Amino acid sequence: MIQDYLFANDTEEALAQLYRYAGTAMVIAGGTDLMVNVADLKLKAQVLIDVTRMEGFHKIALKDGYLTIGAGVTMSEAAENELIYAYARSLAVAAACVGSVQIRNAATLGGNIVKAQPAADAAVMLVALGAVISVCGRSGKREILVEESYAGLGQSVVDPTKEIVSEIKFKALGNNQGCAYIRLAHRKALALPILNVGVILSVDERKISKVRIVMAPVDIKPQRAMAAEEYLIGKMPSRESFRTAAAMAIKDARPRDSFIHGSKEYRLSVLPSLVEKALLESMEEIYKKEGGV
Amino acid sequence: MKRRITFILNGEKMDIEVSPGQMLISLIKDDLHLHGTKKGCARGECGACTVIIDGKAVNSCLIPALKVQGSIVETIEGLSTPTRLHPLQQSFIENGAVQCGYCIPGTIMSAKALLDKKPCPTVAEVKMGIAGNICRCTGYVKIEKAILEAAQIISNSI
Repeated sequence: MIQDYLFANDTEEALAQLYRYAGTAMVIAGGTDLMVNVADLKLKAQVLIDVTRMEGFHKIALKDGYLTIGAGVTMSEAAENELIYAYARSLAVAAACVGSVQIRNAATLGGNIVKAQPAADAAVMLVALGAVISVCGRSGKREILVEESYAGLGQSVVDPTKEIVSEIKFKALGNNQGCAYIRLAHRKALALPILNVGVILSVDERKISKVRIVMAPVDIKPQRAMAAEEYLIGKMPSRESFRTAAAMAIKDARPRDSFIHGSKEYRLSVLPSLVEKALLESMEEIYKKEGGV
Repeated sequence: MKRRITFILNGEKMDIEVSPGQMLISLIKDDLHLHGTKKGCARGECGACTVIIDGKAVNSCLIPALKVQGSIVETIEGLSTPTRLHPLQQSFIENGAVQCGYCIPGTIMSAKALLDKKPCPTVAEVKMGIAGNICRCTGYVKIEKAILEAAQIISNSI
């Protein structure tokens, strides 16, 4: 039962409120997941601290080659933002895949990370982008890779009764870099992904210098296709190398049979096609940036 | 502890006490007795409860009522005058886009939010705009047609 609902003006005030209620208060952002928990009587918190009106929480900026995004930026804001579109196009694409218009107008990027669901669209792409979150607590600020923010299924290392995610930060993609986000689902709205894949690809002197391939839901958290990534480093980007790498992606995938997401066999047989498509799309983006094809 | 909030609802200033755990849909229906907005799944999946807050369509079943402090809220009741239906409402009737009608207030609010932002949407944009509204009667074809026609009527009248 929710006893009180408070708005914080800044992180300091929010932290003070969390501290005052000593574990019985919890951060609420968009509330699109949290309020379902309330409806199901699963929420233990008695006081909710709303952080969506905090200063700078909706800010998106490019500084020193890094894109910084306020944790309160909604999926709609991310999907329509020009800076995100220019420097991390696939994050805009991923944000546009979440739920429905109504959900995207409320749900935030910070919430997408802290809810720690294994296939949350934006979070999967943020792992691919190597994004870092700033987590504010009583003892100060710490930075955590989104990739390392998972503590278990639906469990984040961020404790929403004690801490606040203020910002998300990652390196803006350069002209030699491309990205892609691919999602397979039963329908185009309000459907959890059967599989989703996020990729960033860097090419230097015609060779792949860096690649990050992230797949979900194939584990309790977004999972890197390490074997495929290792194979690609130093290779020429080509249909053949992408296909070979894509076939290797299943080495790092451990999907379960799932009523919602589909059978293990189905997902393991489809996954390479999605990885291949994502790699090709990333390469196409690089060509476009170079003014080529 | 109840808290007092002020907001604009369908052009009218509201000053009302709400409970901290109360959802916007309950404030609209139970306290303000506006029954046009419908409750379906109560978990953000059907869109029947869609209202517009500060120009954006949202599921009122997932929005804590306190979040609308200082906001402009529109519900289906705010669209028509006693003598004139909104072009979207008129177009839905004329195109046979309403059958049982339960999802229609939500669908029309999603459509209004879309047209307020994009007065001449493409078919794809209309489909995306109402993708969060589930209708089990119509099959959506007539709904899409109604929205596209309303868009034309609204742009012609400006």
